[in-house]
Amino acid sequence: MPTTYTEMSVERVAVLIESYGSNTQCWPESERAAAIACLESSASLQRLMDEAKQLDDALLAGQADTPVDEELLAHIVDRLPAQPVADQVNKKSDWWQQWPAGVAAAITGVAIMLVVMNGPEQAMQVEQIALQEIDYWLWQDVTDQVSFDNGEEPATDFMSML
Amino acid sequence: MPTVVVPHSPWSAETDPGLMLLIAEGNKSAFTELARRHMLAMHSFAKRFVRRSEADDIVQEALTRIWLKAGQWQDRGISPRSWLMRIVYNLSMDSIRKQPMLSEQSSDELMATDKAPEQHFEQDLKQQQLNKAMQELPERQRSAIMLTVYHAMTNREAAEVLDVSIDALESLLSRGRRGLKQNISQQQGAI
Repeated sequence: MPTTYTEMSVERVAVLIESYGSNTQCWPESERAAAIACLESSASLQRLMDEAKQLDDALLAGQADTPVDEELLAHIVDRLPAQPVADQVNKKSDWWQQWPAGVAAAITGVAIMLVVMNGPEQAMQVEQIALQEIDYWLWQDVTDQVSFDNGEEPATDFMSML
Repeated sequence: MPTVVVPHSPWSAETDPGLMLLIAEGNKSAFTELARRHMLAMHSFAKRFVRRSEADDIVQEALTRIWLKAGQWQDRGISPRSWLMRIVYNLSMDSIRKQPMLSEQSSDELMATDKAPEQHFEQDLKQQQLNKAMQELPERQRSAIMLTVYHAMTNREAAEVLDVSIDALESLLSRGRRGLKQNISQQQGAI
């Protein structure tokens, strides 16, 4: 959460000029009006503003207005791949997320049947063995993932954001 | 000079978020409109880090990702423009890391503008000094200045592109502008 300022000080306006330069449109919206009012009543801030404007003007002097490269745009649009089908992606992730719940439900069903047929002790033994099996498979899944990651070139932070 | 005919877009009055929703539904015409709005800024931002030819590839890759992932845009909580520029920034940084030689290319090439050669020598010299001073800044500070000055981004948008807090952006900008002034005065002292 950015810091908020209820009262604008000369020091804060100086920081705004030093950071964002002379284009007040780039200043934080929540502080802009108060900062401009403060700026108008301070000669020292106006000097800082003039200095910042000189730097901004120099930076913008080399900018040239060029039209959009329509050829490149057409090339990009022509080569757009097919968009992924959202439902297929969701179904895949649902399957991965839901299969342990399905297995657990099946084991519970078997346990209930065994309680009805043979009594609770045998049912608990069978359930424990089944749960150990699931633990094994889940653990193997995690280790497979680790070894897969080690085998690949590590992804950069930049790519993981996309 | 050939006349550039810009095709009329039915989406010219649509906002960027509105276009993103249409793109998520597979609307190529909306995609073309969004691309046309931001291509220049994307290209010019990429060109600050990589060669012109590679900037074309980065713009293409960034726009293709937007096309493929438009459906996920709302989950990210940032504006389409910030998202596009963030992708361009990330791809440019990846490119520099993969080919470190590129980052050492002359500042003249990276900061080259489309100015006519007959422009005044003095003005060119000034611009070269400024370009060099910019190139000497740490990459994050340079990027923060580019986004706010060249692309007139708000503090929030620039922070979104660089994936930092607004306070951190302010610090980058403040140090960057101070460093820039210092670099310029050092160069002027050396002449």
